[in-house]
Amino acid sequence: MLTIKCPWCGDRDLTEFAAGGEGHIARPLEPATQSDAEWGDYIYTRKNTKGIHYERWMHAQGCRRWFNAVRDTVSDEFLAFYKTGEPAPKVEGDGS
Amino acid sequence: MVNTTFDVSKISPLDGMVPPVGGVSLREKSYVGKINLRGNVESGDFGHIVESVLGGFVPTTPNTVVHYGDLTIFWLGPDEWLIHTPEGGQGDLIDRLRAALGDTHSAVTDVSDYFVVIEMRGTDCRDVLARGCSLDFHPRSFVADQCAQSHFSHANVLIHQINDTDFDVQVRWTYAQYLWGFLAEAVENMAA
Repeated sequence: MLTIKCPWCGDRDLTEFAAGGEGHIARPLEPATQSDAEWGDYIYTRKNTKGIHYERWMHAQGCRRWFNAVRDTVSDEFLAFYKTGEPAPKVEGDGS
Repeated sequence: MVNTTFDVSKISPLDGMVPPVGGVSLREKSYVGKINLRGNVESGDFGHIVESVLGGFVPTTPNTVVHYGDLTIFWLGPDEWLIHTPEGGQGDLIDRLRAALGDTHSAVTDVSDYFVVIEMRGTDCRDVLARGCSLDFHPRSFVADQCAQSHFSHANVLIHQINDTDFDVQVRWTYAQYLWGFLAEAVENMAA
């Protein structure tokens, strides 16, 4: 069973969480001036990383807070957890 | 003409549910007033305004419970709390909170009829809860006045440990019969 560490609640079972996809994608500050191509890039384009992936999770069945996690998409191992707004921790093996 | 008026607030989804026979007794804690409170305690006046109304600061340690007089306050999130009041006490407290908070960025919501509280009493509570919930209920990791939001089978629940053996479980109204049925069956299976 996979365990995920919520920054507030601590170690909890995977079934309590909802995955939110790639993290650190900033919403355009001036939506009105975005071209269709730029909007498409913001909405759809993802890195689809093989290896170290920075992503968003939500503790859906618990405290309902969003947070960030670093996961290796090959081994499915979680490497770090941090709150939204905190800088991404540097993880060993991160080539990006 | 038939009189069709009745007191809607006195209807429970658990009316008529049969309590199990075994090491844990189940009972609905009826008509508890419940208030959802949201605001930022890390900056601004919110924390101290709420403190002046409740008689103490809201719990800031995750998954803990505090008691002030007849109020019980649960940590739900870093900016979210649940307040249990005695029956009928929620309206007055909501008015006082809203009056005190004024324009302070906050939300005070009456959720009394949104949730049902089931009292679990007896020495086997931890084992019964473990049948449907992945949390560690061992006394070394789950102690009195600790609470946790999780899921019991498919039902989203708020579990509150009352003392060394007893628990209260709060569940959404529409899931109450499902949860009661699951708990009752677990209790009777353990007794068999």
